[in-house]
Amino acid sequence: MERAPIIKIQHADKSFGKNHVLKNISLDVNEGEIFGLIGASGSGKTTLLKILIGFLSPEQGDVKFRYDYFVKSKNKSQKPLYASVYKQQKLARNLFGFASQEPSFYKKLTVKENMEYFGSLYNLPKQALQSNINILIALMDLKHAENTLAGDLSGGMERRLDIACALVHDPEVLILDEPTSDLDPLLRDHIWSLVKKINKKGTTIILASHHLSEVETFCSRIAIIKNGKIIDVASPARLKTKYADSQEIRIQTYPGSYANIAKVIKKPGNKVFDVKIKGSELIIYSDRPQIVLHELLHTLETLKEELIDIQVFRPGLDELFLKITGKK
Amino acid sequence: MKLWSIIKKNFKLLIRFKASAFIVLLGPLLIILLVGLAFSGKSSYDLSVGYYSPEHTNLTNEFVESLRAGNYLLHEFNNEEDCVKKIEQGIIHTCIIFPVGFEVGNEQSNELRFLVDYSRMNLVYEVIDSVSGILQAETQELSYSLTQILLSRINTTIMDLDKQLLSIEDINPQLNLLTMNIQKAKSNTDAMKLEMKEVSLSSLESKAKNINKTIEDIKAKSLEVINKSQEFLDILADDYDHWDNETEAIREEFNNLLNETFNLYNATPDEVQELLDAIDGISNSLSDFASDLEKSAELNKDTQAKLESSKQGIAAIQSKILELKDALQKTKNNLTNIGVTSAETIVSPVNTKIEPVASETSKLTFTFPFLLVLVIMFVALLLSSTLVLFEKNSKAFFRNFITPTRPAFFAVTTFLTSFIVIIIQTIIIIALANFFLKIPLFKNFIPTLLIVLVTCIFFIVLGMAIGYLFSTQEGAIMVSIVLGSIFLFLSNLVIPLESMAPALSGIIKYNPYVLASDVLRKSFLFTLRTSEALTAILILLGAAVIMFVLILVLRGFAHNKRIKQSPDLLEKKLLEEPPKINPKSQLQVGSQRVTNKLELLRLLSYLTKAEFEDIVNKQDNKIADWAENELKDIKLASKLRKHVSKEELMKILADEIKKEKSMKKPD
Repeated sequence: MERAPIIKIQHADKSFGKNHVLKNISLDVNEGEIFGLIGASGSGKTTLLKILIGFLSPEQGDVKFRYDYFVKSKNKSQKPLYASVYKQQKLARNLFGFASQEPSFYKKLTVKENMEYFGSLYNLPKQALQSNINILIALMDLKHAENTLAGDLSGGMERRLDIACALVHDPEVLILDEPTSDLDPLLRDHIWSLVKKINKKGTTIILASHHLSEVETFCSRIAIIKNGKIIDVASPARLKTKYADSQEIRIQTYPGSYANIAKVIKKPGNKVFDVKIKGSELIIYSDRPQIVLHELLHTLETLKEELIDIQVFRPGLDELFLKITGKK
Repeated sequence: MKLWSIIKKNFKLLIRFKASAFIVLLGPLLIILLVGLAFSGKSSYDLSVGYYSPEHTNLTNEFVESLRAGNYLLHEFNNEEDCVKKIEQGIIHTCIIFPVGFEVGNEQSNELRFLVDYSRMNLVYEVIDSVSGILQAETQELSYSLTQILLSRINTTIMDLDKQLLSIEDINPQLNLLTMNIQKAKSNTDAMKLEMKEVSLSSLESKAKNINKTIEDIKAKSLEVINKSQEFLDILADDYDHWDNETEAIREEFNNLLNETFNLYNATPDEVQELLDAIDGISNSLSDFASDLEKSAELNKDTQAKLESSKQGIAAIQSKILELKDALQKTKNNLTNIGVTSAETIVSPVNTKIEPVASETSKLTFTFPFLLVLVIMFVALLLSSTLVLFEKNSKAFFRNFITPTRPAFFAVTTFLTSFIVIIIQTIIIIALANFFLKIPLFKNFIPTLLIVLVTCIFFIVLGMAIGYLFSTQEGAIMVSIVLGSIFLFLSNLVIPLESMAPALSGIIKYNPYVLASDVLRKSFLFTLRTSEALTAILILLGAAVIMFVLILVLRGFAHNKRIKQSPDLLEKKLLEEPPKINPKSQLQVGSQRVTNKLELLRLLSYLTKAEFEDIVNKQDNKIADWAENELKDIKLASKLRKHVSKEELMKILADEIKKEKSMKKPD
């Protein structure tokens, strides 16, 4: 059974002077899901997230959140109640945790002090706060650094601390804006595993990221935003099905005269849309991979290329994204 | 809990930023400590006094000694030019030039010249006052001894005058007697008969001749008598024989008598002649006598005139003596009428005794209120603006904002943090001042406390307003210092308000520093009631409230400004106006091109190991080449060249991008 939306964005419109950043945005975020928001730089992702938490207010439209979390005893109908983020700011702020692109904490406070400080701003009882902090420190693997000044932390630890600060009041919704930008792959993996752990605990996660392959892997639903407009909202698989019109054939050969192979394979009639050399791989895009594979094996034999590896993929989110947003 | 937590956090931040902790927390205590040490127990400055004396007289030495006794640092110079030069260099504060032959009693003016540097306006009057005070005391002492001498001479003169007046008193009767004697002498001379009546000596001669004839007649008659007597005797002798003997004796006697008569007679012509000669002599003498008398008469006349003149002279002398007496009396009266007979009174007829209205005497006691407000002002301005900027420019600003905490609450906690710090500092300063410097600060406790609190509140709020108006700490510190300096400059501490243009001083009296320090001074030194300080307190408090409202508005602006720095917008702007990129400056990585470090960083994160090794390996580092040749960033290139791992290169690029972002952060 599909859960009721925890957040409803309704016809949100936002401008900064002449820049019309968000145009009539409407979308729902369901409770417990990991919701991805992808878009090009400047497409309005961060603005949308900030509107979501009430940091910015839209000129038109509204953002509503599940109010019944805070008035459970009175809500006997069990029907979800919604309230505007802007009208119930205090409650809304308790609902959200936000980790922005740039870590937001005091560099001259230790890890623990930062968490204690931000926790205290949510009026949590001392015991509950300490318990949250201990859980988060363990979860974020920051135990060894709990008394280290935040300014002395590494990039990955900074990001983890930022997420810990966002979670210190145990919010229902965690919003992550580019959680893995500027991080190396190892740290990225670490952050994603954390995101999964947090989500497993029942926290709804909304994230915006450039790393589309990661979004594709971890998000249950994705919204694609372009020039301030939502192009589509769906699961990654559904998006792929909807927008994919070619598949990828990835081969590795020896000695790897990919230019010659590409020249031969791009013959008209082979239904090859594009050929790319990416590192040690040759990627061939085609909507008829079975024909291309046949021709390809023949070509390899002719060019005396030894086939080391061959894989056939549906297109990744990267390609889909480029296609949907019209960027090349 | 929330309030305490924010304040605790503010304190931690303040203490952990070492520079701000030192400047804001320890700075004022250090200042007050230094000031306390500098001023404690001393009522004068350590002044260096230079002097040049062409010759060393006793008086010069006395002056120099009195300066030395006044604890001045004395420097002697060999000429005036050197002395002046040292003033210009600030090595000495004043130069005293002694005149040649500087001695008391000398007829020359004995002018001591003071050379001072008026450009050191805060010190020059203190120097003049202090040094001239010492010299003045010395001069006064000299003057006192000279006056003492003068007074003793006057006393002696009065005594002499008394004696002289007595003598004059004695002279007057003597002169009167003299006048009377002269008068008598004149009368006597008047009475002198110096005219000689005519004496007829011819009748005396004829009478002498008549006497001679009479004598001859007498002789003749005598002879005749004798002859007759002798004849009678002869008759008798003839008649009376018995009487022969007797007649004989008579006869003999007659003969003797006859002889004597003849002798007498014979002698008579000589005597007559002698008489005549004597008469001639007398006649001659009488002539001489007459002539002498004539001369005497003339002399008498002259004497009379002289006596008359002398009489008049004496009268004149007498009158002059009287005048002299009067003059002496007057002089004496004048001298005795000198009411002031004390040398001290003559030297300093008016003793100016400056009595302070406040019972305190230490210089620091008077300066302390100004100093305390000064410290409060600068600390409050710097601390509160610093705290606001910590908050405003902190990366945590965003997270603070999205918590369920009202923005005004942060402003209040910033205020409270500053307030606690300043109040603690003020208490420490006051306690130290009270304990070590013996400044009685608690005698007027309630008004003092109120004024200190209001002063703290006002300057904290002002500092916060500065913090919200400016976006960089440097800017806020600069403005705080400038504003504090303006307040300080336009106050009584530097230039007396009374010396300024009336219009300006009318405005300046509302300078918060002037308001606070003035009312605090009155509270420290006099018995100031709270009601008397109420106007200043209300002005400061009112201004603080208005500013606090302004702060809340400014906080809103600061928030909006942060919002406008949304990465979305910046990125969008970049996309809308793509920079013109020289194709040469692009780096080819596989099938993609990058034009800047951020793009490169993003692309690197996608690259497989093989793709990466294609551009960066032990022999070749295309990224470093690109940084060096296209970005012209040799430093970055050299950093990149040192590494061959993707993670390390990404870290270098990420750091570089962060650094650039922080540098580009708008003010």
